[in-house]
Amino acid sequence: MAAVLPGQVLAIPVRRRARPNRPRRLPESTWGYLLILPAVLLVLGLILYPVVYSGWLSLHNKHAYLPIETFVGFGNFASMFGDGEFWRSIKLGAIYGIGSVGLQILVGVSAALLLNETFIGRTFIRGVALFPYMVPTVVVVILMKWILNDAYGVLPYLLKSIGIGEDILWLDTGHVMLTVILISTWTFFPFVVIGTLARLQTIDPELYAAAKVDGAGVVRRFIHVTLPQLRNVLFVVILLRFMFMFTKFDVIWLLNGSSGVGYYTRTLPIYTYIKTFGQLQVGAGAAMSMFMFLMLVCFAMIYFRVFRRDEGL
Amino acid sequence: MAAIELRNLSKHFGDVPAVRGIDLAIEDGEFIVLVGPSGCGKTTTLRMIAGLESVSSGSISFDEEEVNRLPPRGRDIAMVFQSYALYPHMTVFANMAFGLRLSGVERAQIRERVRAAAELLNISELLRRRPRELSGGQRQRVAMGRAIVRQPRAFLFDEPLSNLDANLRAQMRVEIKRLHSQLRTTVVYVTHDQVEAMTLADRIVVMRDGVIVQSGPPEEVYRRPVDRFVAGFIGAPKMNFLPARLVAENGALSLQVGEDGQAEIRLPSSDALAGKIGEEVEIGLRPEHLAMQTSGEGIEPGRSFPFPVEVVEPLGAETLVFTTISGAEVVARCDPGLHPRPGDRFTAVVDTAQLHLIDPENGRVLAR
Amino acid sequence: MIDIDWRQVFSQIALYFGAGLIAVVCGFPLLWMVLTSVRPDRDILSPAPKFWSFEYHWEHYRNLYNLTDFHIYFFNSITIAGTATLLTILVATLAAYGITRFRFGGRETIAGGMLFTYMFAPILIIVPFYILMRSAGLVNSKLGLVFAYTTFSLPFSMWLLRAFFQSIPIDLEEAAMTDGASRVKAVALVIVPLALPGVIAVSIFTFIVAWNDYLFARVLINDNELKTLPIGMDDLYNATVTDWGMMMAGGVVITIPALVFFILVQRYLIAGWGAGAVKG
Repeated sequence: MAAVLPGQVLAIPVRRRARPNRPRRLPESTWGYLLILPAVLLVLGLILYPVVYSGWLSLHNKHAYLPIETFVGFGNFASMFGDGEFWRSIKLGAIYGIGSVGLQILVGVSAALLLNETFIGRTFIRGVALFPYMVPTVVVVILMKWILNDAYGVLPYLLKSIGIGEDILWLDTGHVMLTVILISTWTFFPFVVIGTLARLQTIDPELYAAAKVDGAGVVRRFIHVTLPQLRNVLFVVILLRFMFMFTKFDVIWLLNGSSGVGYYTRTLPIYTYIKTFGQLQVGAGAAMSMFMFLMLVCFAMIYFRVFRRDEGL
Repeated sequence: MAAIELRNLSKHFGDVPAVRGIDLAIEDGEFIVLVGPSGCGKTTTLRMIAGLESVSSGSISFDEEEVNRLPPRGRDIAMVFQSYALYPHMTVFANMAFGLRLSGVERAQIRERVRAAAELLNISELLRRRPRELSGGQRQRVAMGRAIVRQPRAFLFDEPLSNLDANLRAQMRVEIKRLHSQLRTTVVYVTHDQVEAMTLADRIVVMRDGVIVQSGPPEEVYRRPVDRFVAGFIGAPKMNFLPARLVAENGALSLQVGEDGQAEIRLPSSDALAGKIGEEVEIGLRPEHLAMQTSGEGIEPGRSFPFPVEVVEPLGAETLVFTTISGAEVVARCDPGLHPRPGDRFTAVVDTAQLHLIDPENGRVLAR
Repeated sequence: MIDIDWRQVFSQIALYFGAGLIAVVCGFPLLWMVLTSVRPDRDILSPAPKFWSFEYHWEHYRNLYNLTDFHIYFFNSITIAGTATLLTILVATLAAYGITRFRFGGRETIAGGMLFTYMFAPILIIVPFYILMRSAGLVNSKLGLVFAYTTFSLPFSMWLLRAFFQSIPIDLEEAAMTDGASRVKAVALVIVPLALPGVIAVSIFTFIVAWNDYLFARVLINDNELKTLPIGMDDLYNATVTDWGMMMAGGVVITIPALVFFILVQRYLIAGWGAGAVKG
């Protein structure tokens, strides 16, 4: 029998399953809207609507459970600005925000620079460096309470054995702010590592080669090549981190709750929570939420301007 | 296989027109090449035929049946993309089998057809590989294989060879031609490369600014371009364009070339050109229609002009020589046996029968 | 004489010292947690912590299971985080696909708005959110939490998937369609497999958001039967004299799912978060 030529095989028509050829009906834009509809509805309904509702609440005197609801205009804001505790919570929030973001940046960028070098076991260490970010906050806090425990804690023990921190009570009023800053740094610095490392990897190695040819040493290469390339990323990361830290609730709350020690870490989110769920003054709590929201809008505006510039590059 | 007809087909992107009312009847089994500069609407036209782009107005029909509103899968066409668009997560076999699988063809038949197509394209040993393990040329073959296994009503090619190097491109041109002669499926092929258009097409369709400027067999488009754009676009090296003045002396027509009219080319008398006497025209002359001679002796007057060689480009089988006449660059093909060198003063003999006259006002080639 | 470049040697030493320091700082607390969870109480409660002690038992884990409702919390967390993850993948994939592949008015605004809501902290809206949920009858229900977590991880998830979809050439989808696939099939057979790293990154992100959340669960859940791990653990810690061994055992149990997930898909996660961290 003669061999079948490929061309002959292909010339046999393909038998196809009958298939309804429904013509297209919906225009492209309708499809687009349909597809994003669920996402937009969720975000509008469960994030943006609550913000607006929060704004409405902030103009009212409302009790958490009792049906008390009277319009007070900007009364809540007036008493908020007259409240010394409010200003104190902002001050503590700023200390916490600036302290923990500063440390996160310092540790995170150093770690990223190091992890960008080539060494044996780099992949492993990169993985380990991201561990803290994965540990649930509640575990972080309880674990740190154990590690810093004044009777059995391993860290005070180690510090004492090398002769420092003889009588530091990490979780007591005097040091609790420092402790919460350190814990937050431990948990959140991987965020900085990820962002910085991703950017470092996109720096053209030829830039370093060129700088070397120009006779620049390690320090100069860092200042003139690395740093300018990192500038935008760092700006964005600092902005985001500060915003996230300033509105951070769970680490601080879990560490101290509404206890007496907690008074020394009563940042704005904590104070808002206490006002609302402890003192049941929903309107006053909402006023503080709105204050945070307006802060966030300011930050977001700066962020978007930088972001747009960044994308335009 | 199908005859495809475009009737008054238009496409707008917002307010921007991409295709402006084109008419084109493609016969069953014909190899049509849409050619033109980028942005001329050729790819948009192809994508409308494929069903990837909606039609703004007008109609597309396959075998008399309008398909305007059918999605691509209802049209039974196969397309080869410029980027090849091979599915990175599938083997070559799976890539080629994808369309057959979707149309519910039995396994055994799929295997048989993919094998046959692979054999035809010489890629049988690549069937287990993944696209990223293939060279550019191999990917190109797989993309073609994916199209031919299905025996569609038409093949649509969107600049399929533009990512290959010159050698491979020439090789694939031959192969595409061979495939077409074996399979005789209707082909619509888009390219901006006029060499591909010339070598592959049964019929070339030259497009510009969303309209068809000229359509016809390659020879005809080459020999009888309708306007300066087609004349310049088809053919390499490009056609020469020289400014000239059309004059009549004692009923005999001639062209004065150059600023001072130092060279004169006589033309056979023509009634069609009567209205243009005394006016500026443009001469279109292909490089092969200028014969180089080392001296002007023995040439009847009115057929030549001096050609002081400025630049020489030896190509092996022929040599290109360049000069400037009245500010226009002129290139001619020259026998390498003449050993042209810059500074040589040649005489260019014009093949007046192949000379085109162009109206500088509207770019149309004047009838003679 | 061998010529030693001392600067080279020094920088190598510094490099490995730094790497070791990172490993210790990040890894030791977790190691200590694991060690504490398997040691007998007398080793745990010793004024001088024991580093080299090889007496291990599973007592604390047994206690955790027998004496507390930890397994209930675990089950709640798994179901809630799992549901929220699936829902987020579905909604975010649809939305990101719609935004990258269809032209329609306002899509850039929507994308920007999503990025804006990414910066929202739960504390900002927790009160109205609570009131909203109460009027919808979703207080003290798993569904309420599922909605909360889905909504809060949506903006980032969409942003990330959008980047992934943008990186997949549209030609592939069109090739599938000319090969005879409907759009749905083209997406399912070609686009989704290629966007899988993005989908995985999103699922991890959402899972961890849901798994770690404290505030929403605290505010929305009162029933012990419905508590998730973070509030269950917090309440356990505050309820009694702290049994450190058992608390650490609980910590290990909570951390393991997140960590295992993380190690499995670390590659995708870093790529995704890198893109997100730089651009988002």
